[in-house]
Amino acid sequence: MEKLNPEIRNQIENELLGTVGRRYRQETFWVIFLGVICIGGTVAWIIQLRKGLGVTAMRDYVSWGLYISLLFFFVGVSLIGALVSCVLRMSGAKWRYPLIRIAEAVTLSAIFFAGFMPVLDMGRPERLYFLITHGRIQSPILWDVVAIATYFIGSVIYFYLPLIPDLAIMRDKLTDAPEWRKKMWRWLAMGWEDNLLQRRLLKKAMLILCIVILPVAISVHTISAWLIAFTLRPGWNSTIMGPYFVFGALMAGTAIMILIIAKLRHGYRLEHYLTPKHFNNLAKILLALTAFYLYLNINKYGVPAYKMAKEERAVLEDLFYGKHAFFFWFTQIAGLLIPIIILSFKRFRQSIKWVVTASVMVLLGALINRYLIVIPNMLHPFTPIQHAQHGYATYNPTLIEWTITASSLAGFVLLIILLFKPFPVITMWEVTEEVEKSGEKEIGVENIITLQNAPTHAS
Amino acid sequence: MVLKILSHFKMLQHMQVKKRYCIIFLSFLLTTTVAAQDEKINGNIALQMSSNDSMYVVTATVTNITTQQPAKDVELTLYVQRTFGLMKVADGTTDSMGTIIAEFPSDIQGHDSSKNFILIAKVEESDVMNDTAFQISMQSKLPFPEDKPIPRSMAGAHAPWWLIITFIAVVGAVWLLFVYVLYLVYRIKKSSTKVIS
Repeated sequence: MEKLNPEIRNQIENELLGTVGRRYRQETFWVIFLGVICIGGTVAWIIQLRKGLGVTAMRDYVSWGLYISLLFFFVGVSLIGALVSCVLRMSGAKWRYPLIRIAEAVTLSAIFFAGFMPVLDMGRPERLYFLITHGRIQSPILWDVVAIATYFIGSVIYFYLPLIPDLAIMRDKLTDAPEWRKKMWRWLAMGWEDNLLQRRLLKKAMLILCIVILPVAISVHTISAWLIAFTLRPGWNSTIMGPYFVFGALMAGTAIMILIIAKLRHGYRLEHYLTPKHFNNLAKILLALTAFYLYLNINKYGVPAYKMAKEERAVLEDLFYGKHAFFFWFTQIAGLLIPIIILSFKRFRQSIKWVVTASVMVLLGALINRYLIVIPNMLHPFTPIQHAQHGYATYNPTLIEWTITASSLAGFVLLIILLFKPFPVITMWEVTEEVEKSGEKEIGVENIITLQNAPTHAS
Repeated sequence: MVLKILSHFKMLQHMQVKKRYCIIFLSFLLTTTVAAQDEKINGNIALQMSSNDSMYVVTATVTNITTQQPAKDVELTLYVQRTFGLMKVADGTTDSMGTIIAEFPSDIQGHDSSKNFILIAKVEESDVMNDTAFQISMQSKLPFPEDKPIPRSMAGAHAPWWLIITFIAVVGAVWLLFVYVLYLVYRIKKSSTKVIS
């Protein structure tokens, strides 16, 4: 592939730099809407801090409620960064380049809120530091805190590394930006001059981090799975929990990635860079993950259902035709089976609308599934609940819990929006470099060659 | 004016009458309370210990502290002092001789290495006697288990060394690589010819 002519490169960079600081369609509405939900959640949390966890529906039996279910969801979603940045890198998928920064932003936001959820679940969060000073190293709770903190720091670094050359481009080109932004770009660009040594150092740093971050990402979700697998409750005593969580996480992460790139593509008019090829490829990954997750579900629920052991009977009956049956079958049918059918057809995979529809269904199913993994099992302990006070043997989340949960989800989306205010959505230097190396078809971007070959732009 | 003074005098008289009634009423209440209190006696508890092969036998005698006569129908509870509270070992009601005989196992552990433990007899919320307690220190057959260090284990307070080493090695290796990556970023900065302001 021939080198892009400087004029075209300049044009691409200007186009991608156009997203920095620009408001996309309906952004003001969404920022205000999500901000209001976040404020509501903060007020609810203050009430919870003042009055204690008694304002939630969590009691002796159900001591993990919506907050911990959402922790598992966020930890799951955060795996998308590792998938796009590491797995696809190792598999040599070049179409990943326009997606890298979006995936890292999703990861960063998700792992931030994943770290926040256990704090919300604590009655006395100011005692969190006791976990470090007096924590038992044998406890998976300590492992989880350490793993989440490590993954968060790793994600921050991984978000930053590919940003360095882009920051230099912004430093050099966006000269009319506010002074504080120019200062920030100048400082963060680390004197990037695009020389050979700097390139070599940057690629080395990215390769090391790519190798390190993958096991860290998998360990975060495996440890989250062990939190429940190590607890003596019917249905949790299963060796499948680790892979079940990891693949469920990848599935939910891919679904949310599709939704976010669909929104950004439309909002920032990035149709040239986030093309149907990306949706098609992500849809294929989502199809494989959804099918495999269904297979894991058959194992997870089918094997104990065949035996119907006495201690697991109550929780299985609750899921199959009891109080939680509607949600259980919704996750299996609407959250897995129907998306598999939709994504199996090439025609639907090539349609962004259908891919987005399937992703919404998968995401909704994944969100509800996190609730189903936690709550029904807690309601059916090995020692049956007897003579429990009203409200102890059931779990109906209170308004405080719903508000805090909604605000955490809103905060997650808001943080992604805010991350793209000072930085470009697409990695400019990697996209242009790979287009030069492999051609636009491989990267999945469109119309760059057309621009290059156009006589008016030829050098 | 005269009428006004008269009316004030009448009010004062009226108030004094009220005050007198109040004093009488309060005196009545006080007398009743004292009378009610007087119904309960102050008692004294004496404990006599003996034992057979497997049980301690406690003979507790409750007497009226004023008359030195045995107090009957007094509910008495026997406790043994444990680390975080009292463990109830026996209870009963005194007979006409003011005594109860109770038994509790003799293999109860002492609360220290010298096998001592404290037996407490209590009269609590009795209808006939005010609350009172009496305690004695006794020798048990079993000492309190020595505070031996529990071996390192997954369930113990101290983690096994293999876990600590593995944990620190894995987490440390990851963090060291993070530091190395940041060092590479530092080298990127150092290799720049531009001055960063």
